[in-house]
Amino acid sequence: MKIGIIGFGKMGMLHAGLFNSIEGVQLHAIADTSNFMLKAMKKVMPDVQYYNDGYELIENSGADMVVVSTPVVSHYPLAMKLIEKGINFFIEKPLCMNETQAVAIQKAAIEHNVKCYVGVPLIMNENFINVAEILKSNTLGQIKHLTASIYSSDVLKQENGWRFKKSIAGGGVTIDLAIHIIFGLVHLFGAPIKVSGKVEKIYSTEVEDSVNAELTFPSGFSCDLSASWSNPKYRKSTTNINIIGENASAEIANFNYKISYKSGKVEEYPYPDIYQGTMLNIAGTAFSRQATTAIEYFRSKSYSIDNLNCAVCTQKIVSLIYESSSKNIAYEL
Amino acid sequence: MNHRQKTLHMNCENNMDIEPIILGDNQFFGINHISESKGIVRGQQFNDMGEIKKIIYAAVDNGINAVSFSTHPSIYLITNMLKNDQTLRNTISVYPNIPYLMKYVQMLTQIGPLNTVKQVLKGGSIFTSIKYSISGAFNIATKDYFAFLEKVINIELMPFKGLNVKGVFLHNGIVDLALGLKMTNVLSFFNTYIRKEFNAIPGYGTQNFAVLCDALESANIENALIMASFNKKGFLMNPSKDLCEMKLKSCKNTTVAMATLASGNIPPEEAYDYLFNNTAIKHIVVGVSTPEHAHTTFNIIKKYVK
Repeated sequence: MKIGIIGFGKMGMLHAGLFNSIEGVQLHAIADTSNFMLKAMKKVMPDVQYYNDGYELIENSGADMVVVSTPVVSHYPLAMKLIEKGINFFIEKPLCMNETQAVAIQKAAIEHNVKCYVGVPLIMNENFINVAEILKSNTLGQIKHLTASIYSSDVLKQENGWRFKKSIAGGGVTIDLAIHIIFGLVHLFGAPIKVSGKVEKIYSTEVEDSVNAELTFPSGFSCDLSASWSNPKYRKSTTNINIIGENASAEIANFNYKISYKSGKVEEYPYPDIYQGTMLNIAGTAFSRQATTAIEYFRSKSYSIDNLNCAVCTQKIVSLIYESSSKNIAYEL
Repeated sequence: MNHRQKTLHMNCENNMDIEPIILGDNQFFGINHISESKGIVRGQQFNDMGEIKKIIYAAVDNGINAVSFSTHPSIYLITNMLKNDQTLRNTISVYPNIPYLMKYVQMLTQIGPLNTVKQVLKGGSIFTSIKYSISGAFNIATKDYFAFLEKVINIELMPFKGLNVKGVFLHNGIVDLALGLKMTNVLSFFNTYIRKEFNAIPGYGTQNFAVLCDALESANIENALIMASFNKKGFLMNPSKDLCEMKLKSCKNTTVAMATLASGNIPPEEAYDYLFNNTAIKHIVVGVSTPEHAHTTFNIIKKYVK
C-alpha cells in the first residue's frame, strides 16, 4: 500500500513514521507548503515523491491511501477531493470545521464507498481499552454520572499560529483538546441527547481557552466536561474520566486506571502493569495501535462507518457547545 | 564549524569502557512518565541548584561517576555548576542526550520549520542562556539537511564544553522517528559525526530496541551505545519483552538499560536481579532523588552488577 502524507508537520511526521513501519505499507509521497521541509526530507528520503500542494499529491502521486494532517480549515476540501478520486484516507481530528461539513463528508464517503478513518488516539490507550471492556461486562452496573476533564498548560499567553485563528482552526480548546474526550465518550456511550456548554477566553483573542459542558446520555446520566489548555498546574496534557456506576466507579487517568467498588475494595492498574508493546512506539502506543487499526480497516473488504459516525457525532457536539455558549441555551440532538 | 565549538574535553578514545551505572537526570527536570504531580513536586525540589549538586555528590560518594543529561533549557546552570566544582569536573563522565526534543517540537508547532531553523541558528527565545550566531549557517541549513544537523549537534553540545563527555546519545524521539521513516542514513551520520568530531561514543535512545538493533546492523554500526527500556514487567519494551531479550543476546552494541524499575513499579532487588542475572545487561541509567535514596539504590545495584 503506497501512502501519501499531506501536511508534514509534527503530526504528519509521526503518522508517516508509524504507517511506514507497517509491513506492506510504504511512504510514497509527501506534500507540504514548506519548501524548506521538502528540500530537507528529499535529502534524507530521496525515493519519496514531494509536492508543495496537497491536491497535486492526490491527483498525481498514485498513492493508495492518504493521511491528511493539515490545519483544520483544509480538511473538508481535501476530504471531498479524496472522496471524489476514490482514495481512502486517514484524517487527523477534528474531521473538519463544523457539523455541516462533517455531515457532507460522511454522506459523500458512504455514497462513493470511500473509507475515512479519523485519528483520535485516546481510545487506543491501554487504560481506555480495558475500561471499555469493563463497561461491556457491566461490572460497574448502571451508569449514574460522569466527570471528565483534560487540561494542559500549552497556552499561558497570547499565542500566534493557526491554532489560535478561528477561521483556520474552527475554534479553540474545545475542537482541539476537549474533542479527544468527547470522541471517547461517544465511543463508549453513543450519542448524547442533550448538550450545553460555556466557553471562555483567557489569553487568546479569537478562540476559547477553556470550556465547561454538560452532556446528557439517553439512559439519563450526564457528564460534566471541563477542558482548558491554559491551566499552569499541568505541564503536559492530562486526562481524567470518572465513570460512576451503581456498583463501582472507574477512573481513567492518563495512562493508569482504577476501579473502586462500593464495598471499599479498590483495584489499581498502573501503566507498567497494563502496558502492551507495539510494533513501533514513537509517541506512545496509542498512535501505533491507531495506525495499525486504520491500515487493517483499509485493507479489509468490509466497509464500517463506526469511526466516521463517531467523528461526525463528536463534531455535532462541538458545534452545539459553541452554539450553546453563544446563545446560553441547551440543545437536544 | 569552527574549532572552538567542537573541542570538548574528552578522555575517552572511542572505546566501550563505560561505567556500569549512570545517574539519570529526569528527576532534576521534574519528569515522571507516570505521575505528572509527582514529577512537578520533584522538579520544584531541584529548582535549587544546590539540591542537584547534593545528588551528584551522593552518587560520587557511592562510586557512581557518570551522569546522563538532556539538553533542557536550564542545562547551562547544571553544567556551569559542574565546571566550577573542581572535584566534580575531574570526576564525572557526562553523557548528553540530544536534542531536548520538547523545545524544538514547541517551536515547530508555533512558528513552523523555517522559522525554527532560523531561531535555532541565531539563538532565540528559548536559548537565552547563550548568545551565539553561526554565520552563513542558515544558507547551509536550507541546502543541506546533514549540515544543519551538524549545527544542531554543535549547539546542543555547547553547554558541555570543558566537561568529560564520554558518549553522546541521540534522543529517542529522533531515533524512533528515523526508524519509522527508515532513515538509517541519519543514524549512520550521527555515528560518524560524533566519533570523528567529538571523539565520543555515539549512542541511540529508543523505545524500540529490537527494531533499532536490526537498523544498526543493516547500517553496519557497531560498538555504539543503545539506551533502551529493560525491566521485568516489559514496560516500554517494544514490540515485546521476549523479542527485546532475544535481540540483546546478539546485539553488537552496548545496551544501557533505562526504566529499570518500571516507574517505581518493581521492587529494586527484584528489578536488578532480573537485569543482571537473567539478561545480558551490564549497564544501567538510574535516577535518584535524595542522598539517602542514592545510597540505598546504588548499593543494591552494586550487589548485582558483574
